[in-house]
Amino acid sequence: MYQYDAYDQALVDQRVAQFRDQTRRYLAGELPEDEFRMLRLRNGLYVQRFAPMLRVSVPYGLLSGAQLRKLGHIARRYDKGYGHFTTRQNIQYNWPKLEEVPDILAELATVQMHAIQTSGNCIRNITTDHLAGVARDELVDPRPYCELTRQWATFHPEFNWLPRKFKFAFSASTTDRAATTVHDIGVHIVRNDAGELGYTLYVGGGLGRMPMLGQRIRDFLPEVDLLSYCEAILRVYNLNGRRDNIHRARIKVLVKDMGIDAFREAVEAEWATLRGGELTLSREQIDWFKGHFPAPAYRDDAAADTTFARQQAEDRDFATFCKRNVREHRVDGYKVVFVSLKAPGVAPGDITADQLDVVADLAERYSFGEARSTHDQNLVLADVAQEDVYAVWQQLRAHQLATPNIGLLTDLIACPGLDFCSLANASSISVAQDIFERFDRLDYQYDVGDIKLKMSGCMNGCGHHTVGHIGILGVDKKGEEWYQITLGGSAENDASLGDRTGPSVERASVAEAVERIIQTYLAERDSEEESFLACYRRVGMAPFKTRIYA
Amino acid sequence: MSTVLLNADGQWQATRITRLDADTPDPGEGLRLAPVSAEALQPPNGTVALLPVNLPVRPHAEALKVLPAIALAFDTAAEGRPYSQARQLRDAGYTGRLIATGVGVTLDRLVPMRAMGIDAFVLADEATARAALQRFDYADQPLPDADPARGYRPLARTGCI
Repeated sequence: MYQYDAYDQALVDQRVAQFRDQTRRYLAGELPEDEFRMLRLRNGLYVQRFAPMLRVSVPYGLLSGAQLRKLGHIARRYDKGYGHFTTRQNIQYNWPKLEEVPDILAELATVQMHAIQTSGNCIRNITTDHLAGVARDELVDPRPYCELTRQWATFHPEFNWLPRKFKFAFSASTTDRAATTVHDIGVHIVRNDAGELGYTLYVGGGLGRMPMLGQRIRDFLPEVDLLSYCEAILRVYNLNGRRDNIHRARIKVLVKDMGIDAFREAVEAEWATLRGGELTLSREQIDWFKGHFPAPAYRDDAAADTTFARQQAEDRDFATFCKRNVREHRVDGYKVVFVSLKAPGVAPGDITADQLDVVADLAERYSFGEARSTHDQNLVLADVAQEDVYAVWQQLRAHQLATPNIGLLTDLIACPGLDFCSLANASSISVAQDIFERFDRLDYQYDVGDIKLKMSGCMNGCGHHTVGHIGILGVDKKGEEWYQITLGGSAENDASLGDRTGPSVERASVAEAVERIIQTYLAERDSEEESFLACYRRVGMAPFKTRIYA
Repeated sequence: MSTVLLNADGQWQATRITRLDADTPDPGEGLRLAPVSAEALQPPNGTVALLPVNLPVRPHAEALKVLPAIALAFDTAAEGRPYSQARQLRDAGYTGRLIATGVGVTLDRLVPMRAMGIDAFVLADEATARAALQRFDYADQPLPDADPARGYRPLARTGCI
């Protein structure tokens, strides 16, 4: 993974020192509340319903064992013993004390971590495929491109006061596992007909109050031009994005209002002044970044292992885990192991300090020292020799991290909702628990198969409900929590926005409504192979609506 | 209003700032900012052109380049457009003075403004000006050399915003 040099470390240390001074001035009454608010937001510090919330950046979801252990220490020392992984592959703490946040940032800096630009109207954490570097359908490893984009974006003095927040996602695979089409800029790394590496760029995607899918702005951008072209997009947005209405300030509204052709024309005109300039990448620079992401030293004899198959044959629970939580690796003899953060009774994405230590230990012992966070709020050990999977599973199971539900109904995404977030209209976590209890039989979930249920506690859509196969949105009705349901959304290659089923349902009826949706699917599917999404797209809303509101 | 005009070279002076909107009498002294428009880019004699945040720079670059000074309007705390206007002006070869004005010109935003080529700042008082100079000194502390392969960064970065 990328390792800071002295220059990177100095930048982060400077920022810690400056934020310590800003916090001191604020607490001493020397810095007005409004001014401090904008400054703390650029260090990932929100003031939530009950306490500050600190969001720590996990660039493209990659974590070392030392970083995981430090996150556990922070949870233990400064919070209530746990953290929460987010849909942008970051981790957040819900109970830090404001006066201790500079100390937390200083601790993070010792393991090359920070909270810079995890909130505020600036370029946020760069995300990518959690299977980057190990996926069989991958063209190249996208992480070097993520890292050079991260370095370009971090502390970019021109783009720290954008009209609104700005999010990048990268994908280099035939399957989009990074939800690129619902990002402000979605980057697909591709080869053109001449075999040259470059990018197909999408712009103007996003969720929230006005969900939109990104539109293609460039079919093929040469590899060396990534940063100059992104600079042009950001400048056009910074100069022309709306600033009079926070709900219409994202780039998606600008693209919609201008039309993609006029927006493209403006970007190309700006790019003409930048193309070939200092932002143009050289082969040496690209190779330097690629050199920070070498393939691990895989064992040549790993594929000769026979224990993996035997252990599955002998241990039914292990076989079940492998079926749901283990994926193929591009190298024979290695497997990708998913760590489920969706155990019953636990808020989706939550992880305790002790569990963070366990994952750190497993990463260091079995996965070349690294783990990844996913935008589905789970963790991944991406490079486990298949003969070691059984030992990994045993450790995960002993610490409630092995629920065999990856991709199933209870592997749901949920924002913190009303339990923590000051923006939320309704609960998410408690509704998630209702769903966990309603569908507690894993065999039933296996029969239902792959399905993505996503839930947000308000229109801001942090839980990505709009692109859930089943989406649930909490709304406020005269002080009471109600929930709108959508069907048919997707953030993958077949991206689409969900359709509303009809009137919202009361909180106590959400789990029942989900069960009726599932019953309808099971009745309507043409075979066990037809997925929920395929079934919905074939039969349409009518049978689901009839059943939900019967 | 009485404020301080700080130059990036460290000099400052108390200066009365007046924005000459249509109904504002011209005091005839101090720094007088005259809003310009696409149709009328030349400010009256003795005044400094105040560039509207929605005025595109590139189509008017040649006309703007002859002005000795241009004031940029950071009129709200969240205003970000003048950063790009400054960058476009400098990229177009503008060599005059760029003056940051407005409520958005606060201590914790001066370093990135300077990075965009802004070289004068209208600040609330002398205490802020002194603090600003300390901030510039801090931001100017030499950083360890980055690997040469990262020389693509066109702007000096600092962890100090």
